[in-house]
Amino acid sequence: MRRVIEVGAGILTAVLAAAVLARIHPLAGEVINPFVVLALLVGFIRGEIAGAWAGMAGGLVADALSLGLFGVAGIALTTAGFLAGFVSRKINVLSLGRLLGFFLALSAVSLGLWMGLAGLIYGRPGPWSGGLILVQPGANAVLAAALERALAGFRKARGR
Amino acid sequence: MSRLWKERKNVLILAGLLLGQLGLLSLQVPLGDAPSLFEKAAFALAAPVLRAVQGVVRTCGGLWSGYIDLRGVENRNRDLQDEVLRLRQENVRLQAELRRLADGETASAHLRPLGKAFVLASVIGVDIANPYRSIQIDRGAARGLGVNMAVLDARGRLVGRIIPPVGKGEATVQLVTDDGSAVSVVTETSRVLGILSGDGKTGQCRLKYVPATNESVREGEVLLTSGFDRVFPPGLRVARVLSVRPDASLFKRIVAVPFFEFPELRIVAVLFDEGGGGEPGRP
Repeated sequence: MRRVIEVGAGILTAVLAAAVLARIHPLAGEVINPFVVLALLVGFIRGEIAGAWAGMAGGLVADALSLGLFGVAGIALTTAGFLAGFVSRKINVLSLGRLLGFFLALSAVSLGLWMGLAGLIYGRPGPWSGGLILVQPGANAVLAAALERALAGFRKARGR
Repeated sequence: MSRLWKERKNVLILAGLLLGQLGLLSLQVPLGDAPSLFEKAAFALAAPVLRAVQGVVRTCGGLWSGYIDLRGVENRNRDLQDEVLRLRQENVRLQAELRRLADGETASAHLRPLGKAFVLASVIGVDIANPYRSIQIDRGAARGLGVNMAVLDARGRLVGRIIPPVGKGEATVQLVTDDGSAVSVVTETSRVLGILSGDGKTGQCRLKYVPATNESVREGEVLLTSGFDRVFPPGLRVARVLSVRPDASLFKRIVAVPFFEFPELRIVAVLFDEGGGGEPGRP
């Protein structure tokens, strides 16, 4: 139950962040995708199952808030969330550089999946937004790593 | 089955989730662009959150820009106050200019029928110690003004005469309400002659040298210049008789109120002597 609440709160936060980004600039959502960050963080911290559920929920909300087929982002983020939990337990991602690289790779996988699925379904390449979308994995990785470190510090402080 | 679930639980859950979403995708294909029921439900859940978030963000933005982020407001406020002050001064100046032009128009309309050359002047000073004695105007010798020229108000009623000193661009006007002033006048209907002098204190005048035996001067009678003093041209309206009383002397005690209104004296016209300078009807 606690994890469900956590994921719900995370989705609400992601919706909030998406709204704030949209207010800042219409293309800001192309640079940072809060739902991807949510899926990566939940998967990394709570494991692959929680990551998959969070990715699916966040992705479906993202799909609901955008035009197009419902479920494309859901599939991409479900995979990314699952992989974040699964792979992080197989490799060493303790250092900040490795963590950044790990999130960068998963965010790129998520973006690739989303672009691939969108291209497959619509029969044309996904929206490139003038190449701006290629910045997204890096920005997502930086934000996810920063948040992970902040949450780790918070948990550590509470543990004392 | 249960063994498989135990060994591959995570992968099976992932597969289930993905398959479910693929199912969702395939369900949408026949619908084309129309949203599926699930999509509608998710949108119905997410849209209010999004709207609330937008409201909160807008409110926070308003709070930030209206109450917190006030950098530069003090400077802007100071600039605006300076601007307001400048505009007020400009407004006062323009209103004065407008009033002067309107007064000038009025004066020209009233004075043209006199058929005499005149020049318009603004009142620029009043004798502070004795306000009913003299005023200063902004025209002087440079515009042809000289001593003893008659000065009228904007409606052509006698105000006084130019007295020394007359500067290049300024002149002093002795008012008919000055106790040293003396204007030869005649009553409009009974044609009784007298000398009008001011009392210098209240803005009223005394009509002097009307014999006590004369019964024809009545209250309300209009006094006009007679022209006998060779200073003021004849026929100018000067004052109205306020009261007529007997006196212990040989003459009646007659009080008159001049026509010109001292507080509203902003524009005056200086009449030129016959053949004098100035352009008729032109200020």
